[in-house]
Amino acid sequence: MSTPALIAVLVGMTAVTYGIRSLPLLLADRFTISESVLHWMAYVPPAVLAALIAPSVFVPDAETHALNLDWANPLFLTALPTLLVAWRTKNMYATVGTGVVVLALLRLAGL
Amino acid sequence: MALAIDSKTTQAVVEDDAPPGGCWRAAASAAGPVMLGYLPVSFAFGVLAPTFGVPAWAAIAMSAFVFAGSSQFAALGPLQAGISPISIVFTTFLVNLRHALYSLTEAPNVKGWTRHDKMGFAWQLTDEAFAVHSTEFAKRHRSARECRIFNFLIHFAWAGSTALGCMAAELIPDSRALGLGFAQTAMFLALLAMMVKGSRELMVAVLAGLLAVALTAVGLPLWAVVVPTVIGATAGLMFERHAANHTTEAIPEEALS
Repeated sequence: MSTPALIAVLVGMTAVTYGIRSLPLLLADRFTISESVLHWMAYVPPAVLAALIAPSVFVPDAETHALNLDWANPLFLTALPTLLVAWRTKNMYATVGTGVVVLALLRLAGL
Repeated sequence: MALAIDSKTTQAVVEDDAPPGGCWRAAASAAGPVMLGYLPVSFAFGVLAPTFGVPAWAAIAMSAFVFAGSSQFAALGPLQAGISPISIVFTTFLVNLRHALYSLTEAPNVKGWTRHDKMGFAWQLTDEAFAVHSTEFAKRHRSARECRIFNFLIHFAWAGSTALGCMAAELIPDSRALGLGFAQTAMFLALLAMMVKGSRELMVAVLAGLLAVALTAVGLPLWAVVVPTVIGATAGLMFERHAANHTTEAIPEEALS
């Protein structure tokens, strides 16, 4: 890709991302957010995180989108101890460390 | 778990309380885990970019300006294929659409801030920043300054590790073998574990996760975040309303609530 086209992509990606992130925040002043919407929004974080996590574990191939429900799915085998550590410790360092090390060991073992 | 409401009441009670140890300390302790989680992911982006024919300067600029991991990774393939800039930017729009929900959700937390502070705050509203902001605002009042320092630290870590990754790119033959790709998922798992405080959040998470897997598996990965989030949060609200109705009607069935 040519340098001007690359710069166009960078500018476009930046503008679009910033627009998405800033507009609702800046426009929210003009509306009163109702009680129901506030309660609804409290469920957004857990829903988003689950929606980001689950496909990266069970549909790991970004090209084929093949569902992998195999027990020997290394990402599933990594997610189990990682989830346990996350739940028991609520500590991000311990959780990320567990995930990276377990997956590296499984990859070393040839999975 | 009414995050926004909690923070609003706290704000009214304690207006100007500086966190113990000052802004930098509070910001750094919240940012530390995110920075550590970013290192391997952003490093991997820096390592991968040149293998897709994206020059180091462009990879670093992308991390410095766009600062949205999943859309950055998603752009690599199309950039290599030389697809039109407009369609790459449109893909970015779809991949990052979920951030509009973050922005809306954070609005009550930053209500009293200046427009300038809000505009700065929006730049770094990543998945991780949103999760940490939501958790921290629910606990206590945070100043615009503290959030600015937090955002600076995580942004610096993200852009810095892309630069490191670009430098190391020539030395690392296969970055996928290192298990680094899982760092982001592990970070999300930790954030999720901190947020799921009751059965309703758990149900919302399970429902959103199942929907996301289904949508991805049928070849709609671009919709696999926004749609499950909206459906999941709506179901959460309905569960909540259902439970509230049963309490007000004074039906003494604990199992229902």
